[in-house]
Amino acid sequence: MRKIVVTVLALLLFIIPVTAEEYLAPTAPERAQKYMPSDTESFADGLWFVIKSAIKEFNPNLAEAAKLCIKLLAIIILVSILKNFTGISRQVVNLVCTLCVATTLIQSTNTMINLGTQTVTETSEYGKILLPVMTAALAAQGGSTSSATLYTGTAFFNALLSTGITKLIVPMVYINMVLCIANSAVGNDMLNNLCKFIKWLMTWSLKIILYVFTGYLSITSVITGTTDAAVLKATKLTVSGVVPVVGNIVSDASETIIVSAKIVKNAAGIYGLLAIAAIWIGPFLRIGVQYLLLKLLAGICEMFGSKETTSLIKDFSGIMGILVAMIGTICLLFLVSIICFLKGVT
Amino acid sequence: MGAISGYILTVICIAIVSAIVTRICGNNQAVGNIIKLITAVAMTITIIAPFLSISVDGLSNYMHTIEMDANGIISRAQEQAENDLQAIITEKVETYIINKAATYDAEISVSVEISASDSLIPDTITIEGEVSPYIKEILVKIIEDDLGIPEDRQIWK
Repeated sequence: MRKIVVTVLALLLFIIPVTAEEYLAPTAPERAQKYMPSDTESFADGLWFVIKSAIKEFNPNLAEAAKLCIKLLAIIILVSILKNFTGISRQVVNLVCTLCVATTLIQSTNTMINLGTQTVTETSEYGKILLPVMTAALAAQGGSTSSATLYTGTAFFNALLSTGITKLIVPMVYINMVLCIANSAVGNDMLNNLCKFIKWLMTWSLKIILYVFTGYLSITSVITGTTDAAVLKATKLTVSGVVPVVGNIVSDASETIIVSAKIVKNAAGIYGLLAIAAIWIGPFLRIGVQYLLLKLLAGICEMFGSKETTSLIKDFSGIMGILVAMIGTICLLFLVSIICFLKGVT
Repeated sequence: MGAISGYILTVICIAIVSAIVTRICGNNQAVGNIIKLITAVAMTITIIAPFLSISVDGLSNYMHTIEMDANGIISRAQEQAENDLQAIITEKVETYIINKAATYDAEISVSVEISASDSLIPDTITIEGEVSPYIKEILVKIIEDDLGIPEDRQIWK
């Protein structure tokens, strides 16, 4: 049975005339390799494998995040007990509580910010290598206008997003973190408003980039896809009408090239989609769990902790939310783009 | 990295100074409002300063580079596809002529050349083999009618 499968696969390789090596998707980065399935023919099976592998790896991370929350809970309980002692100033207790919570959270938040930044860079770098492969495969399939538009749009928005995230949003996340701690310690309205403004700016920057990119792809893929399809149809009609036999030979040969390019493009696209998902899923689960646990902790703190401490924990969970949005946006950018490449000439 | 940390430090310093100044002048309603306005303007300018320094020329140059890259990738892919297409057409035309000759019990070898034009129609063919004048005449006619290659572009050896 195995011999038959190997023989059939070898025969298939001979059937595909398009130089397949030219259109092979680049190998997923090392960190994402452990989540990648060995067989990437079926997208649904591959995605299921990526999710299963990520969940298996996820258990130790959950324990780590839970440990952090227990530490924070202990600090808050201790501080709320201290508050009952009449000799200690309420402001001093709040300040100490803020500093303790901030010190506990800063290290893990910094780790998560670094993880988020690394994920964005990895996704962007992988996308930069995958894009030419998809562009070439789509162009070989007869979608030269579509591939040019898709490549230009995705490369531009990828550069904009990755540079924006690493050069502006990540520094803003740090500024937001410092301002949130200062606001919790001092309780100043202006700092509070500034924190809200920075958070709003970061969220909307990501949203606007994604909205504009999706809009650009939706409009251009409809227009260019139709143009390419019309050009292909016209070429086929012209060629098959030249001389009966040679016209048919040329028409059949171009059909073979188009079909084989489509097969190779689909294989590269599915591998690319799975690789992007594999890069994204690990950090998403780690940061996402931290985000949910901090939200839960903020809810518990509201029952017996101070207003300032609860607000600080909420702010830190907000930072985690921004990090999730950050990696989600760049991942979505490539997923949408690859799907448009796969859709190709309609 | 130095520029980023400088930017962060500037924003934090302005925020802290603004908070202190607002706190000190907060008791006086009239002065407090003006101070709040000034600090808000200072904060906004500090935060958006990096955006203002973005050069439009740099952006248009970058767009041009991306377009050039896209055109390069596409032309290479098209060239590759055209080469593959030429190889398939050459093979099929050669097989067609050999099969036609075989029906007349003639053994020949064929070499097809495709012109560089976009049509991908065979340009010249070279036929080698021992063929009688009668069969040669039939094959010349078949090649002319079916493949569109006139006699003057058929090289018989």
